[in-house]
This record gives sequence, structure tokens and C-alpha cells, in this order.
Amino acid sequence: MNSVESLPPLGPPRPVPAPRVDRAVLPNGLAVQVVPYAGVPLVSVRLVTRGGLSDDPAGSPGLARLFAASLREGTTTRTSAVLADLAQEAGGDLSAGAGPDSLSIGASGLAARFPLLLDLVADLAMRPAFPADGVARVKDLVHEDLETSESEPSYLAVRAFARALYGNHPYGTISPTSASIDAVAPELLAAVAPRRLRPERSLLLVAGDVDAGAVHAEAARLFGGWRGAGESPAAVPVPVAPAGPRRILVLDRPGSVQTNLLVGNLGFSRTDPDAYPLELAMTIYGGSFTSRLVQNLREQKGYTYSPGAGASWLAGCGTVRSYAAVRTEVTGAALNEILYEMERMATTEASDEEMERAFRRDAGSLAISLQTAAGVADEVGRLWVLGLPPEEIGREVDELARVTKADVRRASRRVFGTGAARIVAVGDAAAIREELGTFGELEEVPAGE
Amino acid sequence: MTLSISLETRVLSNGLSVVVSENPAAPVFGLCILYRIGSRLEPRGRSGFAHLFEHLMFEGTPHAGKGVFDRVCESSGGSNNGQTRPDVTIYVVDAPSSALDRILFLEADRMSALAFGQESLDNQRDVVKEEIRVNVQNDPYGLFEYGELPQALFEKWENAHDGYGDFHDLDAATLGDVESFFAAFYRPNNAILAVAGDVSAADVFEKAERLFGGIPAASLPPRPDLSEPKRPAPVLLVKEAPLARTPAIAMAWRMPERTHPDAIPLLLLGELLHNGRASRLYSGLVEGRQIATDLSGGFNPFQGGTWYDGATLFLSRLGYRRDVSETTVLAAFDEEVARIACDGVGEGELARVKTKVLTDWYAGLEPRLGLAVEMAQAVAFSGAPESLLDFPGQIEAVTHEELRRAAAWLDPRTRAAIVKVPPRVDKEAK
Repeated sequence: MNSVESLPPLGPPRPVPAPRVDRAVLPNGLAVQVVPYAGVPLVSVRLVTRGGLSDDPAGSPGLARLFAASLREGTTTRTSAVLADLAQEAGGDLSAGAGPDSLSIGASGLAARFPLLLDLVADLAMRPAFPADGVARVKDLVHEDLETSESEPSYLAVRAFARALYGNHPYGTISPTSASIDAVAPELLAAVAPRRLRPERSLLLVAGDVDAGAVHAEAARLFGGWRGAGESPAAVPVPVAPAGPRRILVLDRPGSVQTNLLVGNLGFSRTDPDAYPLELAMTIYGGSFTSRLVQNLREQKGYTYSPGAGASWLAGCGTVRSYAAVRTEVTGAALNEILYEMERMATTEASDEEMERAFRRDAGSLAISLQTAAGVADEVGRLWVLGLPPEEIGREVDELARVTKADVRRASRRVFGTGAARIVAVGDAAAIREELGTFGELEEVPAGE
Repeated sequence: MTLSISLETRVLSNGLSVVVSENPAAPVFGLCILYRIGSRLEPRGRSGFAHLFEHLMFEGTPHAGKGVFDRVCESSGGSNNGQTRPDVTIYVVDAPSSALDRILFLEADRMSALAFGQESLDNQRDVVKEEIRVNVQNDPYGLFEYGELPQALFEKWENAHDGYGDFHDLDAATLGDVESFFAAFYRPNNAILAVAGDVSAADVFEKAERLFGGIPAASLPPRPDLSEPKRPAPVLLVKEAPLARTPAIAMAWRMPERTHPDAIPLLLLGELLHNGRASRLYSGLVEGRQIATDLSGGFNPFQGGTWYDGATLFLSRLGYRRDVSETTVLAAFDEEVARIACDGVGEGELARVKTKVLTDWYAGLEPRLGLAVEMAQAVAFSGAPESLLDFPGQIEAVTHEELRRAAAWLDPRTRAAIVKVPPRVDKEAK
């Protein structure tokens, strides 16, 4: 780093306080966690249920997404419009969504109105009605949304990349298809609801300016009678890395002025002993502005405005991937730099300065993300889906501090090898196919398919 | 619903305003340095220059070379960014409280002097062009509500031109332009320093005096009048968007000055129309008529609140179904507005929207940086940070009659609209 003679030293690091979590489990198996957090007069309520898009049968890609969106369309006691008005009355939003590993129903608003917010969440989870007109509207919107997404190269790249890495594993599918949207019917969703939304697979999380005892009492009253039905979905299988050498998939988008590149491999589980070393490795590699990848592609070469890299943590096994949207004419040159930086992580040690910077960076981001009640709730929920308790938050800084250079190199070796990497390039194939072909076996398909 | 925050202000002898809000609950702070220069006041023939200049603020000073600001910030555990808005440019930092001294040092350093050469200018020019390619040219709709719509809406060059700039103007920028822009606008008497979080006000004031106090003030260029009356006639432009799959429309109206009695009612109207599933446009156009698929917009969308100089715009952006015409969408929009103008808004609905607006406002002030930016804007546009605390009272006070009057501003006869349509495809033949 360029030295600055008169730069004042850093003050002593201040500990990141572990959030106080007040826990209970209802007799039906629902975990309830309350995080009292003063500051502004607000509260975040969320119900997180294990299993999401990864529970969708192979013939119904994206079902969880349609299911979650339809929850919002009405309950047996309230229409969609009434739900929206009540949420607004509490100053809040009512939302439902699906991720790879979880379904979530969320409401946030004024802390004083927490009973109403809890009530709305309970209503969606326990009494969804899936009215025909509401489901039809959701299908229309998801159709339109899919069409819009398909016009965005970044989306096409992410979708193809998941397929390239995970193949037929459920994580290989990130969105519905036109046909799978058409196939959704209210009866199907009604059958899915009690099987997937079950108290013993769920966590009710309440964070904000509230009294824990009052929240627990209200939660028991509203959720105590909740029961699932039918066979519980099986846990997601552990994905297997794709066989064979490096492959490049080109999605042809004639006329593109730039190429969206994604490069990566499978990562590993958040409970793996190398999880903290990988966190630091990602920060050094491409997870921050001062990281190697960003400095190389953006600052030194000027190939791209927003390159980066990230590790996704999934209950089964996530990915480690690099991304960059680059000018068409420097596509090959940019890919060359990405592969170089990956190999450098896998084969050489980080410097002391990079290690210190990455540690301060990761510890600092954690403190910054935990400055709001919603930030605390996000982190607690995320850890829970990955099988970790909220106490993990209080341990994270210590764990990061213990990581050595050898640990980072070991974790990097597991995820940054480029010999079997999967590469997706969305761009003008005529302009980039020849150059990209020099990097490995290349397959080309029209972007629209 | 209450919010108690501490606010303390000092003005240094060189005119720099320093505002501090103490909150020791988490070991972090948010810091904002705001300069009263945005894309509206950049020189003619240099569109995009304010934004390019924002990038150059990271290219080095006599004490700290290119990239040092980013590196120091990140190696301290923080993050930083810059944002060029129509009337101000803000430089923001989120960091652990252990990094306060060095961040203040570096901000003072780059307010004192910049030092970089042609290579840095050329490099950042490329970075900015790439940002425009990603955000504008490669976007299916070309970010048209930001770049193209103001050009259709406004008359004055300051208000109308694209703040991202065109490549020709960016190419024309020289190191001489950089020096004169810095000398004219990046002066302490044109800046506000706001810090919120785990810091002590006395400590920040003492350090600000020591680090920033010696930076000389300068006489500032006169501020042009940026106000514009309502459009004399409507305009509707239809453009093909080759990369889009579904059509979208963006429409806007010229808005009065920030102190106009209709400003706060217009802000509330923007939320009533756009915010969430209970909003009028969602229930009327997405759920009811089922013609729109997504919507966004509101009053003063590019700067927030009522923070702006002269005129701002009221924006509504709707994505809609391919089998629906823009005439149908506009007619439906106008019906929704007319319903408010004629019938007003029910007691319960008005109360709910106010609650929603205030909840969102509180949520925006919970992150320390959100509060710091709000403090800086309050000083910049109203002269006192305490004025930000007026917001809840101003919202609560809005009456039915005021909302109806606000709705009258969204008159189809003074509207500018742009439609982006995907290329025609013969669906039957496919």
C-alpha cells in the first residue's frame, strides 16, 4: 500500500457485541427468537422455513417462487387488499419469497404494532387461500418478470452458470419456465402449503424495539395451533462437482456492446472448517474494492466498471464465482486476467498486509451490518438456515482473527483451481467465440434459449 | 412514535459546517462530506463532468496517492463511496469507530489539494464510460427516466441535460477543467461535514478545526435560478428499445420550489401512488386493471425528501403488458390521479400512508450513514440540521384538501412522457 506519512493510526478495535437473543420453542416445534434492539421505534418480523426452490420437483422448476408470491394473495380470513391495508396501517411491508434453501414471510413496521405484524405473518403461513384470481395474477406477473429478466444479460449468465455447475441437482434451477408457470394451479399450491410450511421446519424471528416476553406470549397465541401435514420434504442432496475439464458456454446475444462473464467452481458448506479462511480469501480475491480482481480489471486495465467475486453459502454446497461485464473487444483479455488471479490465489500465499486488511474489512462489515435491527435479523435467519445458532455472530470476529495465511491458501486451493472451472459468457458470439475458444472446450447457444 | 437524536453543529472560520450526532450503541460511524455542486451546475459543453470529477476525488493528493483513500478505508474495516446528484455531490464512509481519525485526515487532505496527471484523468474517463455502458447503454430501457426524461421535461440546460454526460463532452474534459472546477466548488465554505454514530461531538469538532481549519475559503460562483414553470404543453415520445422484451413508460412533471406549500403534499402523493401494494397505482393498474407489471416513482426521486434547488420533477415509471397500448396506460394513470383530485382520500387511507412514509423515514435514519447524509442535506438546503426533525410534523399536518391540490399538479396537459417499446415480433408467425 502506498504509505501516507502522517496518516493517524487505527484506534484499538472495538468488539462487535453479540446480539441478545431470547429463545423459545413452541410445543408444535416452531422456534421463536426475539432480539430486543432499541434505536428507532421499528420492528422486523420474519418467518423462515427450511427448504425453498431446492424442494421443487424436477418437473416444476420455480414452483416455490410462485408458491411464496401467491401466499400474499389472500388468506381464508382476509383478501389481498385487506392484507395490504393492514400492513400499511402498521407502517409496514408484508412480503413472501423463496430462496434456494428457504421460504420466508416478512413484515416490518412500527414496533408498537408488533401484534398486528405477527398476526399478518401467521395468517399467511397458516391460512393461505390461493384465490384463483390472485394466483392468475401472480402467474401473469411471474411471466412478465421472466420475460424482462430474459432481456438482461446478467440474469441469463447467472441462470446458465447455475445449470453448468450443478447440472440436474436442484440448485441448478434458479427460476421457473414459461411452461412451469402455466402448470401452476390453486389446488396444487393448496396441496403444497401444509407439506412445506410446517412449524418444526420454521423459525419466527422478531428484532426491534420490543419486549421479548410480550412477543413470546403473542407468538404462542397466534402460532400455537399451527400444524403441517403430509410428508415433510427430504433434505437437499449434497451436490457433486461437474465432471470433465474446463468448459465455456457462450450465450449468443448479437449486438451486445459488452460481455457478461461468470467464472467459478463449487464451494463448500458454511459449517466446513475452512469456511472462515474462505471468507478472508474471497475478500482478498474479489470481495472488495481493493481486492486483486477489482484492482486488476477495473483500476489497472480499465476493462470493466464493476467486477467482483463472491462465495454463496447454501445448505448443500454453494459456489465461488467471479463476475465481470466487460467491453466486447477485451473479453478474452479479461477472462485471461480472471483465470490468472484465481490461480494466483490457489498457488501463492497472501501478503501480511492483505491478511490484515481482509480481517479488518470482514470484521468491520459485520459491525456495520449489525447496526440495525433488520441487519441482526437477517444474519440470525441466514445462520439458522445454514444450521448455525445466533451465538455464531459473537464468535465470527474471533474466528476470522485466528485464520492464517496457510489456512487461506488451503481454502483457496479447494475452490480457485481453473482446470475444471465453468465459464459462462453472454455476448456477441461472432465477436468473442474465436478468442474464448483458446481457453477450453466451447459450446454456443442462442441467448434466448 | 418518537425519535430522539442528538444534533450538534459548529461552523469553522473558513465556513465549513460540521454536524455531529452521537450514538454509542454500535462501534461504528457514518460520515458524509457534501459539496454544494451537482450535475446541474457543471459547465456547458462538459456534461457528465461533475460525475467524472467525483471519480477523480479518489485519484490522489500530494499526501496520499491514487487509491490510498479506498485502501485505507477498507483496511480499516470501512467502505466508502461517492454519489453525484443534481444539486450536490456526496462522499460517504461507513466505518468502525476506530477509523475516525484517519478518515477525517484523508477527507481534509483531499479538500486541501488534488494531485494527479493526465493518465488518471484518462483512466477514470474510461471507467466512467464503462459505467455508462453498463448502467445505460446495455440496460434494456437505457435508464431512460434518469437520462432522457429530464431532457424532454425541462427547458433550462441545467435541468434538462443528462448528468451522465455524452462521450463527446467527456472526451473534451482537460486537466485545466479539473483544476478550475475544484477551485470553484470544492471549498470549505461550499461543504458540510456530518458524522453520526460512536463518536464524541467535542472530539470531532476539535479534530475538524485542526485538520480542516487551515483550508482557505473562496468566493463562490453565483447560483443560477433553476426554477421552471409548468410545461406549456404536453410531450409524448415513443422510442424503440431493441433489448427490451416488455414496454415501459416514464412520465414526469416540473415541480415547484422546495419551500412551496404543495411540496410536502406532493411528496405524500408520490407515496400514495407508488409505495407498496396498498398504493393507488398498484391496486389500480397492477391488481385492478391488470395492465401494469411494475411501478416506481414519486416526488424528487433523484435526491429524496424535499432536498433540491429550484425545480425538481415528479416521476412515475410503469412497466406494462405488451398487449396494452401506452394510451390505455396513460388513461388509467390519469383516472387514478383524477379520483384523488376529485374525491380526495379517505381518513383511514391518509393515516395509513402517513404512517408508512414515517416508518420508511425512521428506517432510513437507523443506519448511521443514512442519518449523516440526512443531516448534511438538511444543512445544505435549509441551513440547519434540526430542520430534518420537522419532517414527521410536516407529514402529519397534510390535509385532504392539500392532497387534492397536489394531485392537480399531475395534469396531463403539462406532462412529459417517454415510451420504450420492444421491437415488433410477429407472434403468430413464430
